[in-house]
Amino acid sequence: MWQLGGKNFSSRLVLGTSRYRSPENLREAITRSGIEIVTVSLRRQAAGDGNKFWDLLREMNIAFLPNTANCRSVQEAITTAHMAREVFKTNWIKLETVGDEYTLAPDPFALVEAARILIADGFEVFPYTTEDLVVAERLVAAGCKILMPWAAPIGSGQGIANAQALKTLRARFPETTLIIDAGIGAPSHAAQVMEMGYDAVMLNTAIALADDAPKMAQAFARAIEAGRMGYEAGLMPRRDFAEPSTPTLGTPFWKEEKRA
Amino acid sequence: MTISIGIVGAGIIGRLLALKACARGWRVTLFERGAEDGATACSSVSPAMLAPYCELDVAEKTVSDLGALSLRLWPEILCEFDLPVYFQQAGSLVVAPPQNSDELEHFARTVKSRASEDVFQNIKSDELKVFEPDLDSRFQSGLFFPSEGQIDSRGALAALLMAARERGADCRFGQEVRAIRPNEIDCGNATSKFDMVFDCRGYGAAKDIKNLRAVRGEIIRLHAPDVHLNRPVRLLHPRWPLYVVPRPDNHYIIGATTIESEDASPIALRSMLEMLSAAFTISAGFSEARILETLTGLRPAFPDNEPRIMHQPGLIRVNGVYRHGFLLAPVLTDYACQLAEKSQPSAPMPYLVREAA
Repeated sequence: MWQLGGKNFSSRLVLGTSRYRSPENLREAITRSGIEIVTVSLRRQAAGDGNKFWDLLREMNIAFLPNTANCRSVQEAITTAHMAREVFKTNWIKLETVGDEYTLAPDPFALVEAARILIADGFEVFPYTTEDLVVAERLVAAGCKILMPWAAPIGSGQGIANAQALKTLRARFPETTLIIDAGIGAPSHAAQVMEMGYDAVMLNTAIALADDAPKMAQAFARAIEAGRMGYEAGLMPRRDFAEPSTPTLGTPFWKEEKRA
Repeated sequence: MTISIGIVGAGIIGRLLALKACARGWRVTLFERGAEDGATACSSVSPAMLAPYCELDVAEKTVSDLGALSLRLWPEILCEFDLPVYFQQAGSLVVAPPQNSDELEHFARTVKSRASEDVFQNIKSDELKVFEPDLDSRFQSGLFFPSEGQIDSRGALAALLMAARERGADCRFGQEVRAIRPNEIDCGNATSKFDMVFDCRGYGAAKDIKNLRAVRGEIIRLHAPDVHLNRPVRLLHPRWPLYVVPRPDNHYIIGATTIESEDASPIALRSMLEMLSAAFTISAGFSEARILETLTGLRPAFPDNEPRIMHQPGLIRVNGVYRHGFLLAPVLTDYACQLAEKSQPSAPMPYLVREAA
């Protein structure tokens, strides 16, 4: 069990809901991997009255984390967040502010500003950010209790582009919930960030575009669980065997001295 | 045996069903709330690609198998038309810009894992120039699906109506159907009785069919005198795969978005930018194209995005054709007719659902 935004969950995999072959395929992925939280996009899907795609997900009794995908400005993001609160009856908002259309890199300036306004308005803000330490600090200073740094650009499947920076974030924000958002391509990537002590992983493309999405969802769920268990059990320290520091069994000691 | 049937909905399914029923000698009455031009039917928005294998990227194998059967049936249907309708079977081409060449591999892998036979060829850059001289030179490789085709959706809708009428179908437009029951259709203040009622309303049937939803699709029609493409071209992109479909006289259809929404309002600016960028990427000649119109339609879909024929005594519903109305119509309407005749279709039908009477 772990806590997120005041609720208890057992799954540490948060799933995006776009680009599946069908809603049924998505539902199978959710069921098979025990997913309890999904993100949904409002910007393009909210028009008209009601949305049966969302209704199909509502039947599954899972938590919704609405997002502000495709928003560029602070105002757009805020308007979308308000709409999300209305539609999904939740104060959770995955705050995304697009800074670059091609990579979908977040605009950190708009992000911090929108986060401050939304937190003052009672939202639980999940900001989608880069691995940058200072942006993370500003977001935490603005009141964010959760951060969602990317591992690599969204949809790229590149895995961890800057492992050192992600380790630094974990070390500097021990009290903040850290969820890796974007860039994960393979279950091993997810296991790796969980071993670093990240609280959860958010994914979409790697599962949605797999040949067998439900099976891939299950693969990720297991990798995330394994990574988390490894972190909790305590990983052994890395050892450098390039230069022997103690005499090797069977090697005469005078040879060791010579080398030193 | 001559039976009387009532069909509700004059999209591609309803119209083709009317023609096939007339050919069987049945007495056919077709009801449609919209006009004859089919503008209110999402069928008229469809680029009507007959691409059972390319669609494997988003569809399941069963849809592809039915589509492959249908593809063989279309030429026979065309023979029934008095109007010339544009139909092409020159294959389709799938390309990706070099920086996204992984997308092409992924697409090929997806199709291979689901298609039962070898349905495409890998095309290298020199061959690509022979296939499509106007394709931008940045494209270095592609996948060619030789058996695929396309049909002019509006032309086909008009020709189907004409052919059905000539064969005696009573086609009533501007008729709001209030209720559908086994053997009965309530229209206006009257109730008409039939041996069999066919519900072909698409998303218009949502209140009667559980779990039917709408998926918004937007397209753009262009006139591009500077561009000569010989066949439909699909552009793979990490976020928005789109296609450009050539029609006679340098007309083109760019489509189609797939948005989980029941909103049928006009095209979104973002969709327009994405689709026009795709066209421009395929050939710079599109820069001077004229935008003729933009259209939005709501495709009817079940949660698995696969079609259903639901039947009970006196009532058969055909729905959930999603993006594949023209691709699936020949097979689905055949099965629906067979069901009405002897309550069991001759071919295996994986989506057949017996509705509680």
